Amino acid sequence: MGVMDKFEKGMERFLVPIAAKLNSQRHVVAIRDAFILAFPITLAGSLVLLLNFAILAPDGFIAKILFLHKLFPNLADYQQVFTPVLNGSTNILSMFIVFLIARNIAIELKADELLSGITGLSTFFIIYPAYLNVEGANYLSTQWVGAQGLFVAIIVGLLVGEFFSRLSKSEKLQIKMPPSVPPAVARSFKVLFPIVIITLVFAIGNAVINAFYEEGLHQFIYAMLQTPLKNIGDNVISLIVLAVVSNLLWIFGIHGPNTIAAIREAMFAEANIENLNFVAANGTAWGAPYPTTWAINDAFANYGGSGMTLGLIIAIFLVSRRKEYRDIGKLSVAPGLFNINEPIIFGLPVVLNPILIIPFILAPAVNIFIGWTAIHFELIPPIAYSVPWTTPGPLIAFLGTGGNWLALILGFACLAVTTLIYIPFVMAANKAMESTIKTTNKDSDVPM
Amino acid sequence: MKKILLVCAAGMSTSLLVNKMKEAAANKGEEIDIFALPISEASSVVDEVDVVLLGPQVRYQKAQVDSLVKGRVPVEVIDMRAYGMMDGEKVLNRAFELIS
Repeated sequence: MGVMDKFEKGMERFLVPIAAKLNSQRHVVAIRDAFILAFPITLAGSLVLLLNFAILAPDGFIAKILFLHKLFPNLADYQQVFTPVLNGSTNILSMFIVFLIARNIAIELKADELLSGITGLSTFFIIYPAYLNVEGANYLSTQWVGAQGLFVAIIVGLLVGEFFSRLSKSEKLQIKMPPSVPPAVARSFKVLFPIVIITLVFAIGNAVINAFYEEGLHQFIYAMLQTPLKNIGDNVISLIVLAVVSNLLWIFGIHGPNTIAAIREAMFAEANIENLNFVAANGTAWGAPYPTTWAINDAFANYGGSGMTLGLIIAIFLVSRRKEYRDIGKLSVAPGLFNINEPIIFGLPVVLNPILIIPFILAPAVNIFIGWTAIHFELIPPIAYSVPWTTPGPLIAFLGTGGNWLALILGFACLAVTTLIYIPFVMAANKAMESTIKTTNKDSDVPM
Repeated sequence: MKKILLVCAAGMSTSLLVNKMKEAAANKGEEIDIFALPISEASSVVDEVDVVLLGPQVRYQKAQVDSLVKGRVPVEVIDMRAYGMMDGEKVLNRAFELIS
C-alpha cells in the first residue's frame, strides 16, 4: 500500500465520520437549511438595491452608461420607491430564521412542522423587548427582528423545535377529539398543551432574565454570543482559516462549503446585513461598516468553485498536453463559469491528488489576502452587496462593490495569479503521471 | 416506469449528470425517470424510487439515506471518476445492474 493510500484510508476513518456528523447533526442542518431557504429573500432585497443605485443614482454605473442622469435631473428621488424592499427582507431576517429553524427541527423529528414554526415565531415575540407606549400608541423596536436578533432567533428556533416536537409526541399531553371533529380542528387541539407549556416556560424565563439583566434577553445574548462570534469573523486570518478548512474538506471529496455553512452564516450574517443596510442608506459601498466578510472569498477566491479551479482549467489549456486533462478541462468550463466544479474535482481528480491539493488550498488563500488588502487600503470599496455565489467570478467583485471597475480588474488579476499558481503544479502532475505510466509499462515487460 | 433518485448537496452538479443519464437512456430507448434532490428533500420521495445513487461529495450521508430507505431498494455512492467525467451511460448502466 502506498503512502497516499494509507493517508487516504486514515482520513476516511477520521475525517469522513466527522463530516458525516456535522452534516447530519439535526441542529446544524436545521440552521444551515434555514439560511438556505431565507437566502432568496435577502438576495431579492440586495438585487433591488443594486438596481436602485446602478440605475437611479446619478453616479450609478448603468445611469452613467445610459446618460440617465442627463435625461432625468431628479433621478435620485425615485430611489426611495424601492428602498422599503429591505424592510421586507433583511430587516426582518430573524423572524424568517426562527420560523424556519423550528420548522426544520420538527420535520426531522416528524412532528407538525408548520405549527412548530409558528410556535417558534410566537416565542420569539414573547421574549421580545416590551412595547414602547408613545402618546397612546404602542411601538415595537425593529432592533432585534433584523440582523441583531439572529442568535436569539437561532436559539429560540432550536429550543422550540425540540420542545414542540417532543412534547407533541407525548400521549399524556394530547387532547383526543372524537372522530367526528374535522381534522384541522383536531390537529390544533393535539398540540395545544405543548404550545401552552412552551409559551409559559419562555415567558417565565424571560421575566427571570429581565429581573437580573434589565436590558433584556436580546441584548444579553447579543452581547454574550453574537458580538464575540461576529468579531472573530471580522479579520482576514479567520477568512483564510475558514477557506482552508472548506477547501481541505474537498481534498477528501467532501463538500466543504456545505459542511461549514452553519458556522459561516452565524459569523457573517449580521455583518452582511449591516453592510446592505449601509448601502441602502448611503447609496455607496464605500465606508460599509464590515469590510472583512466571507463575501471577499466569493468575490476574489472562488472563481470556478472551491479551490478557484477556473485558474486550474486555464492552466490546463495553457500547459497540459495530456488528453484526459484537456478533456476534463473542456467539460468543466461551462459549469466552472458558474462556480460549479464537481467535474474537475472528481474527474481530474483533484481529490487526493498529492500534487494538485497544494495550489487548490494555496490559491484561494492568496486571493483572499489580495482582495482583503485592496479593500483594507481602500483601493476598492468593501463587497457590500450580496451576489449569488453562482455568478461568474469577476462579476461578483464588480456587482458586490456596487459596480466598481477597479474591483472587476482586480478580479481578473486574481484569476491570472491563480493560473500562475496552478501552472507549475499541472506540469508536475503531468510529469508524475507520465513516469508512473512508464514504470508500469516497464513492470509489465518483465517476464513472470 | 423505473425511477432513479440522485442525492447531492444542492442539486447543482448532479443535475448535469441527470441530463447526461437521460441522454444515455434516450439513446438506448429506455423509458426511465431520473431526478436529483438534496438529502433534505429526498426523504419525501424515497418510497417511490427503485434505486438511490449518492454523489461522491455527499458519500458520508449514505448512512442517513440507508436509514431512510430501510433496505427496500439499493443505495450506492456513484463512482468518483464516472461522476467527474459526467459519464451518464456508465452511471445509468450501473443503476440498471442494481435494479435488476
